[in-house]
Amino acid sequence: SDAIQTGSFKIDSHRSARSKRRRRDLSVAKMETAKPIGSPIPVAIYPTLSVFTLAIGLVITAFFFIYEATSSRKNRSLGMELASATVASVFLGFGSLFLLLASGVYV
Amino acid sequence: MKKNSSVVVDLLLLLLAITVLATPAFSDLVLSKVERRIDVTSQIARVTKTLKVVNSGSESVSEFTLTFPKFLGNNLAYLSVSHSEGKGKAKRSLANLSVKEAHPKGMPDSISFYSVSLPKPLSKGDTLTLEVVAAFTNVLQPFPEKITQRDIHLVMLQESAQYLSPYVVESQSLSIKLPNARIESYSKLENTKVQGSEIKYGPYKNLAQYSYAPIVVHFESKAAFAVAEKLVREIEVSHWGNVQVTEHYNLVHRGAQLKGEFSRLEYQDRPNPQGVSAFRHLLARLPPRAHSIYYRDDIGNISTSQMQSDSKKTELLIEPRFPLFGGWKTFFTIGYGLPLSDFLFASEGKRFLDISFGSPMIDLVTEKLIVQVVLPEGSKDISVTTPFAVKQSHEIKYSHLDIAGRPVVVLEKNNVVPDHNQKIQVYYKFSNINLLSEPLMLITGFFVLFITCIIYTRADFSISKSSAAYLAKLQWDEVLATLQEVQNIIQKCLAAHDKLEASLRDLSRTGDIQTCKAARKSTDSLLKDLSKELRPLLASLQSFPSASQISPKVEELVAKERELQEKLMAKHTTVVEGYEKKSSGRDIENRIASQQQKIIALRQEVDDLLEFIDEI
Repeated sequence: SDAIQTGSFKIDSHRSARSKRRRRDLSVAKMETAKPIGSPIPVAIYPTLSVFTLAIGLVITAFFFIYEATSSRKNRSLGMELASATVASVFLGFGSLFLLLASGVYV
Repeated sequence: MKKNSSVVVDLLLLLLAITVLATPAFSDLVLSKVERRIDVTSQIARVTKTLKVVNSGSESVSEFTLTFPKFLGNNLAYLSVSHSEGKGKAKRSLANLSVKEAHPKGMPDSISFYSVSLPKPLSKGDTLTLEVVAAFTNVLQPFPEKITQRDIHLVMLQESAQYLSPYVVESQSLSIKLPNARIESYSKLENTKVQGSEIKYGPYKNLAQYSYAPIVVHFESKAAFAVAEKLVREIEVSHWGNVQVTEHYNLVHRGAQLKGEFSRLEYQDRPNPQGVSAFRHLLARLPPRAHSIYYRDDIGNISTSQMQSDSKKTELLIEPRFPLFGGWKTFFTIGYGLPLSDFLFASEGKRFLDISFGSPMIDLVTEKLIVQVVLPEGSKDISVTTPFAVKQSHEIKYSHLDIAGRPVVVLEKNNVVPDHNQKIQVYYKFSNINLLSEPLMLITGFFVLFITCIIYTRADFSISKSSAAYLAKLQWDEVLATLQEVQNIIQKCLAAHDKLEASLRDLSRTGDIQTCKAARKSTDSLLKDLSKELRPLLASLQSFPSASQISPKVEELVAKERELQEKLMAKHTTVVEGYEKKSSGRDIENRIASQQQKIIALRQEVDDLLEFIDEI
């Protein structure tokens, strides 16, 4: 939004007052019983959340790859590999989702 | 010229039809007072009528008929009727009444009929006040139809000074509000007054049914005749907290066409710029808290725009890449995001989106409006409520992280004026669990990557299983495994040594000899076990030919470690004896000084060797 400068300007408007009143009358009754729905997680913390989950995910990914590189064929345990892969992919998945949301791509 | 002659023919037909008509088929309602106000300050002709209806017949009436001449009726964009009570300041407008197009039999084609259902039947002698608002597009005809850049924009309005109605009218008046500019000419009937920029016709008394007195007003209009030939509004709802609106405009100037050349020099000449018939600015009123607003077209971003926002609205003033003269077209896209909680509500188990239908631009007429409401994946039972008729259809849109696609409700309407910018509601059912499908897809993607890595490191991709290189690799793997185990054991031994040292420190602190001796015994047995484990490993290491360089180093390491062990044990015994004999601290220190130095040197060598093995 850098392309749009904020400033003041003067323009006459032509909307008739009568049509404005009519618009309000229409849905007043319904709106009184309705409650607004927002996002399950407050939108303001999306960037923070994405940084933290991605950081944790990347740390566990690093642990996974170090384990793969330093263990010998005999000593490797599939359980350890799968566990670290699962945890890393959960954190990376949520981290990339919050990264997409924080950068404006509301998926 | 062609349009003018067809209108004149219509008028003649109308007058003919009126004279032909005999008794009406309508009820005996009488309009006691009719006040009409026509506002032509913008490109839309807005007619506001206040009708006082009296039932002078004997039966109660539940329907009222509105009529317009056909050339107006064809261009009718918006019609709303409401009944009001009270007079003057106390006037209250009550509910809107339903209006339907009607085609009564035996009536000529040159009149359009609309039937209004009254809230309760009007019984004999009762009066009712109706307020009618009608908006007409394309009735302000530019005349002359082609002008040069220097000319002013003159338009013509054709109307009737007497109210065309199937009922008898007792008294009526008409006032036309013109823009504050030049009035070229106007029809002069009886009782005509000009007050500033308003022309008043009337009051006329006691007119018959279907009375019609054509008038023509020719005046200068300074309004922007901006018409969107096609407007596509896409409203995408995301339950993660955003409603994204994207609007694609195809704008055209529907005023008098420009003939001749466009001279930029004359357009920008100060103090006399030539080009009053063109418009440069368009104002859009967006909802408050609109964010991430962009204004671009196929070439790229358009930077001539300004935004001003407060708590009630966000005003966006945009300027297309060039001023628009008559007949000129431009196209652009405006997009903005809105916070979800301002527009999405829950009621009775369903969710509904409450959002405005038309374009946010003021004074824009849209010839074809297409609104696409994109709901998130997994929305069910979709229904739309609109205050006026629209054409509905359903589509599927595939967007980010979609499996089955998102349902889209497409609403189409032709001839949309700013009076149509009311709120519509889109109802649907959605449970928040479906939101999880998106991160689940990303998680699965990453997991597949990790599984690929695991399979790659575990799978055996060698082509020949008996080649020398393959066998050598296998052996090397075993050597590495053995080395790792040796390392583990040595680490355990070193840990045991550290425990011994710790017990010595405890002794100097507490003086408890028995615990010290017990610690020494346990460490002794532990070290013996570890050395037993070490022996087969060393034997297997020696059997590998590829480990010929490493095995001497490993043996050296083991030997050094054993030496270290012995020295530590000796030192421990000396210290404990010293404590038993209760000799002073300094004595003990002196005795073990040389031993301590050797221990430190040995420890250093062991660490170096361990590092060397680590790097293999």
